[in-house]
Amino acid sequence: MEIKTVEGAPGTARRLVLGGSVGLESLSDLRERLDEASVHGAVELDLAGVGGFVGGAAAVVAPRVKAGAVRVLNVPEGVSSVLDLYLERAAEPERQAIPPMDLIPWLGEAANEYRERSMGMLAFLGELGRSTVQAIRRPSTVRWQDVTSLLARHGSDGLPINALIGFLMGLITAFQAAVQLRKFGADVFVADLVGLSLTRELGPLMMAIVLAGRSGAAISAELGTMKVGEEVDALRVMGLDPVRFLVLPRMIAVTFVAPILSIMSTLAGISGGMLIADGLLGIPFSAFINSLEEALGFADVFTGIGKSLVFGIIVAMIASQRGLATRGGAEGVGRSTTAAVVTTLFALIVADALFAILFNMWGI
Amino acid sequence: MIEVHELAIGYDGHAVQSKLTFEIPQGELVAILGGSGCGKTTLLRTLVGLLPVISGSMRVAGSNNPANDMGQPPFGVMFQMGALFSSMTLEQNVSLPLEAWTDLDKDTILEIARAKLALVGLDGQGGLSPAEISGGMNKRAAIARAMALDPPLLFLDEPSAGLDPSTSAGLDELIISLREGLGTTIVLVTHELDSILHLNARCLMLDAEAGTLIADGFPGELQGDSTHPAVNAFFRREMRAKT
Repeated sequence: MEIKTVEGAPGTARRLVLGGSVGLESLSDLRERLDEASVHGAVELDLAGVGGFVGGAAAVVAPRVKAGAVRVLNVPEGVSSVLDLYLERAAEPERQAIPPMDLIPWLGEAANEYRERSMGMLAFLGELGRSTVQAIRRPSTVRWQDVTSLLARHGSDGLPINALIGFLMGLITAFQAAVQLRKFGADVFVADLVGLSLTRELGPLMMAIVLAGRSGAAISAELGTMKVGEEVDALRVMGLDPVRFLVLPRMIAVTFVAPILSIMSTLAGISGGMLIADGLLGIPFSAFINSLEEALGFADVFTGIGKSLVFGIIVAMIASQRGLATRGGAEGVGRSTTAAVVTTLFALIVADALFAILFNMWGI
Repeated sequence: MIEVHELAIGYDGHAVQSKLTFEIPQGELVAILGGSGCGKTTLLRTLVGLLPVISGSMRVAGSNNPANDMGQPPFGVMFQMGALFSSMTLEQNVSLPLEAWTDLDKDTILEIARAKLALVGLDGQGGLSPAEISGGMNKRAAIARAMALDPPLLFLDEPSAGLDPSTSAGLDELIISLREGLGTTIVLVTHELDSILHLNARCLMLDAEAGTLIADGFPGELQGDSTHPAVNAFFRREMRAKT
């Protein structure tokens, strides 16, 4: 493309003469020259020598013509059809002002969003409670065929990773404890420390974190995709309750597998601890188990199982609620999945802290 | 613009249509018709390179195999559901091909994107996200994105499907004006009879039973002259007798 500027007599419009083929690559230059020239008033754009004129060129010229900043002259026949089409529909060029960041509106919006989320969670809890009561009254309304496949997906399929993480946690805890306890000649307490910390705390918590990342994210993404694909709406218009149809089977499956996964994770952790105790401190397996039997009571085992049960409910509930609250398209599914995992992790830590306080108060 | 010779198309090596032979010259408006499941979208996906050719040959805008050509595609495609990126605004969706394939500065790209959106009747809507607009607007925005690089060839998959008659007629007008104003070759897949008649597009009709092209002509010719029962049934909106 060639652009030639012809200076007119004082008081007359500046003229730009275009030549050759106006392609996409020359549009920045064309736009710049038009804006430069139009600073001094209206510009005449002579198109007599133009051989080719892409739609993008018309997209640049047409809004300026419409705004009165440019007047086109000698438009060849091949160019006029393109230009006319854009002129017919073109908008005047606009600059969108970037709104300044204002703290008070931002705080208001954030508070409003928090309120909406809280209300959404409350409404979900209400629906869940109602559906659970209905399911207890009429168990046949629950899709048990889904529950079995969900048990496999969230339970047995997740067992290897849970056991591996539990084993490594036991290994690390025992190793750290061994190094410190040996300084005081208290090597023998490694079994107590590993057993108690894994059974009461680390086993259930690590299991819940893995469950949130693995099953919680999957549930949220699955329900979110169903929501944006209007499948959840389809259930509603068919008179089916999405909570009973979709959420309850997932709640049942995850709540049921959580204590089992926690027990398996804890056992794997204790075996990791036993390996370190034997290898590093020379404590044989039998001595380790004897020490463990003395240190661990029923209360310790049941607090661990009870916590994992509650953690399972938290994971399934938050993931389902976030999934069903998904809005928008693929991006919305990603957002709700992230929100589900982050919210669950936060809720798990809070719940764990509450358990610690309660157990302390009850003397367990 | 498009040359197809003895083409067989389908999925995983199983042909749903075969022995397809036709040519589409530059500037023509062509509708690929046929009943549901006859392979219309499969043909479109093959022409744009999303599906491999099972046998035969084709040449689309100078390319024998658009799937293997890594450069700027010589055509724009509007998918049936629009396929706009939900994480981007309409302006960003339309700007994307310009950012990818040109060295234009951001302001120029934004200006072109807005003009393209205005061209399809979405003036001032560029800041919205695809989730915030209707199905018809989604399709219009998808056409604007397909036209971003001013391709000489446009493929439109079911542009009128699922739209109300008025929006559908508006989209037809847009297609006519794009073809007349810009000289763009347009290939659209449809089974909307009203739309086909309004556009007066050259019709390539596929049939699932025959497994090949059964008619090639303008609606006026096919409505009166065809001897093929499937063509007659289609244009008369009749149920086709089982053969």
